[in-house]
Amino acid sequence: MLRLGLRADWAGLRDILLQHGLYGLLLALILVFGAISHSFLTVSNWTQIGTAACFLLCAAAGEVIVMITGEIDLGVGSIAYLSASTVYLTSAFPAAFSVFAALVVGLIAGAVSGGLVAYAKMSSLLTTLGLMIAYRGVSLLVTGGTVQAVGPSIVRLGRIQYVHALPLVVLLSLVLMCLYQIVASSTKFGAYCYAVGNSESAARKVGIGVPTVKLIAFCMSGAGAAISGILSTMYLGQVTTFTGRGMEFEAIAAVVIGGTSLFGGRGSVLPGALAGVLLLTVISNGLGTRGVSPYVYPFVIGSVVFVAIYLDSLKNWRRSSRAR
Amino acid sequence: MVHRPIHLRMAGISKSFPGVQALDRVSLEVGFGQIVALVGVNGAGKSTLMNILGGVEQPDHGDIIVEGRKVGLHSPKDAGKLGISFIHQELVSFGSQTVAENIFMTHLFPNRIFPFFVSKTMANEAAQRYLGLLGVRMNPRSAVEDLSPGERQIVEIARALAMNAQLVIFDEPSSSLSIREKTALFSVIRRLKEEDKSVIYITHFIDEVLELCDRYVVLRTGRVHGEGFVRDVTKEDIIRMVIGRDLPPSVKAPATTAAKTLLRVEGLKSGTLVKNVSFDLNEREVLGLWGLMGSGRTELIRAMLGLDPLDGGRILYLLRDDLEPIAARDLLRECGYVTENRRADGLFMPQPVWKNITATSLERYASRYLRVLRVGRERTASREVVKSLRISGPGHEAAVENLSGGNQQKVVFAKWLSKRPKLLVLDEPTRGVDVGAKLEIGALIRDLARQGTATLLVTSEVEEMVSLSDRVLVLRGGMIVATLVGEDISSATLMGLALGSSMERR
Repeated sequence: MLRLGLRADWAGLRDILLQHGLYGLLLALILVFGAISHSFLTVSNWTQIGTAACFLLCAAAGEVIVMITGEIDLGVGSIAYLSASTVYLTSAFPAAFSVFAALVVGLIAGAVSGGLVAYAKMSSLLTTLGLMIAYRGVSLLVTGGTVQAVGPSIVRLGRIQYVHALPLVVLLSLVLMCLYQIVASSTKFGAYCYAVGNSESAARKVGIGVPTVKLIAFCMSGAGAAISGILSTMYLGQVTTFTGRGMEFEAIAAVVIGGTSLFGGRGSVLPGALAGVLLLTVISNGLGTRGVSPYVYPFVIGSVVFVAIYLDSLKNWRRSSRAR
Repeated sequence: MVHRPIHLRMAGISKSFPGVQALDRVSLEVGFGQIVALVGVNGAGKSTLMNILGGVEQPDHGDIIVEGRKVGLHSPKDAGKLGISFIHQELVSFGSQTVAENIFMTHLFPNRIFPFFVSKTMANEAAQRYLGLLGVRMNPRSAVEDLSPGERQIVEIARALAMNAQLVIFDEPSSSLSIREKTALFSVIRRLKEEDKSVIYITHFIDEVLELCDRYVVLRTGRVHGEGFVRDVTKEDIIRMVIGRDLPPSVKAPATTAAKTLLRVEGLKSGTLVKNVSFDLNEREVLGLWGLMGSGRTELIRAMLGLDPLDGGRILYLLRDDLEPIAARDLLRECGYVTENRRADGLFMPQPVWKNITATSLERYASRYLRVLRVGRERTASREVVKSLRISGPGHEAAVENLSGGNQQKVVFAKWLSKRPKLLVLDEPTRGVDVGAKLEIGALIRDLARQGTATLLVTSEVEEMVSLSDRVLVLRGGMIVATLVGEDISSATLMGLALGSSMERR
């Protein structure tokens, strides 16, 4: 009996580690970097971490919603580029109009991916892979493939900083995250997203409009990516061919690290995706403050992503073996 | 007595598909608060009839009358509006979400102050109410994936109630449940009856009909071949109606004393469910492993075949002329292993029948030097097996997924038999198989034993255990608590021994 109790404790501990290990790791990393680098735990460094993370945060928030439904959106990086290009094209107009136009473009781009996946029943991986290339192509055309400065009114927004530490861009990304988390956890639509991700056929049987749910999820992802693009123009004052490049993979990595399942049906924006993005950002920032060669980052981040995906499979395997 | 219209009447329903008369003037009546069993082999027309009731298919002729009013069912929504609700064999549940969310999925309660948001408290309270109505205690906040299959089914029934179901149709609900869960399910169904809900219960198990149902309707080849009150008939009567002929007499081989021991298990330990199990298995013998789910019977087999880690003990196997120690993994290679879940790990569903049959013995069909498969020989060999096991259906070029459950199970047997194993391990070999195929598979098992195969049989059906086994080991709590031979193997003893001390707790 005693032995059995011990076993149960082990299983419990393992479950806790699988569920919450990320937060422990994040905390440990922050402490380690704080201990070995004087500049790491300073306000200005955390402002820097925040600004470095905010673009990815927005894209990741939308990615979570799509992945909860069991799909994947590779288009977020390109949609960010597309929205940034829209801001550049509308730089003659007031900032509010540019922001609005970029958001609409993001929503439309998301709706195209979502429509193809939901109604034409195309695989989201391939559809959004194709669209990722296409959207990037459109953006390259309109920007001429070079660096383009955006209007000054937008740039002024990017300079805003509250209490000398919290930039507007960071605040906006956090607000977006809260909004997306509330949608996921406390609305009917959110419940439908999880239901579709759990089992599409079961969702259909209880009468959930599966295609509509997916379409809206992709629109939310498009909007998140668009905001990411808008924030990047605010902060950088320009659109470059690097805007949003590779962000889809970073977003997916961060989201999976944050506990969102590649198999659908589970995940969170807060705290999951936030912690995932922070982990990636803290690693590069921490390595940076120690003066480690930037060529080391991809390897370290790759390893973290690998471990996260392995843990996701492990969790999934444990669930299915428990169901047996 | 006040006259009240009968709850559901399906009158003279006919339906034909290209080339098949699926239903031929079928009538079915369900009274309020009645549990009606719908019995029949696969392909008898049960599903077609229920699809018509569910609004999925339209009948060619015939009327559907609900509470005295003639209704048209043109879509599943129409059926839902009339309070007709289905509990399918495949569970409709959302693993990562809570019990309450599962119950109220499509009509979650809006928050009083912010109607855009949902109120979880209200859902939890309401869920508790519905579960209470079913006489079940369950935490509405726990995730459904943490529940047992039986509990998930109860969540589905609660959902049906929450959607205001008046008539609940169960499609073979018990096939994936343990005996304990089945008891719980039955008490929930009886609660439904007390609530004046009506139930149509589709099943292969005649025992369940006798235990649970008030009336029965037997379908065979699209026609009603018997109906009435369950209390007026015996099990044999119903079986006769279902298969349309008499039961073959039980064919048990006389106990042969000369048989050699093929397998010896000594002090096997694994995990928490297998504690110190020892037994011998002889050639020409069907050895039953009997016990409730959780008694360790499946775990014992898994440990023995190296699918779960061994914590102790050893396994001896007859190699050449002596019993020699054998690694569990190697034993798996020696034997034929029919698992309890043919869909997941018994068959290559999208592959043709013949490829499934030869899959375990490809060595035999490979050419000598280049090891190329000689497909022609594979086809010829499998065609013979198909004929000898009487696997019917769309033929041996068809994908296995297009066969009925019984025929699929025969393919599983054919697959292992083509390996010509000396040891057969059967875990629930007739699960989800209709009565006719069940009898054929039973006969096949006896036949193989007569030819010398040693068989280890696990089944939750007591009748099957009694009719097939030469010897039965009763497991409880991971240990062998009794060995029964010959006359001692009866359903009463088996049930009593398996339940053991857990009887009082019920």
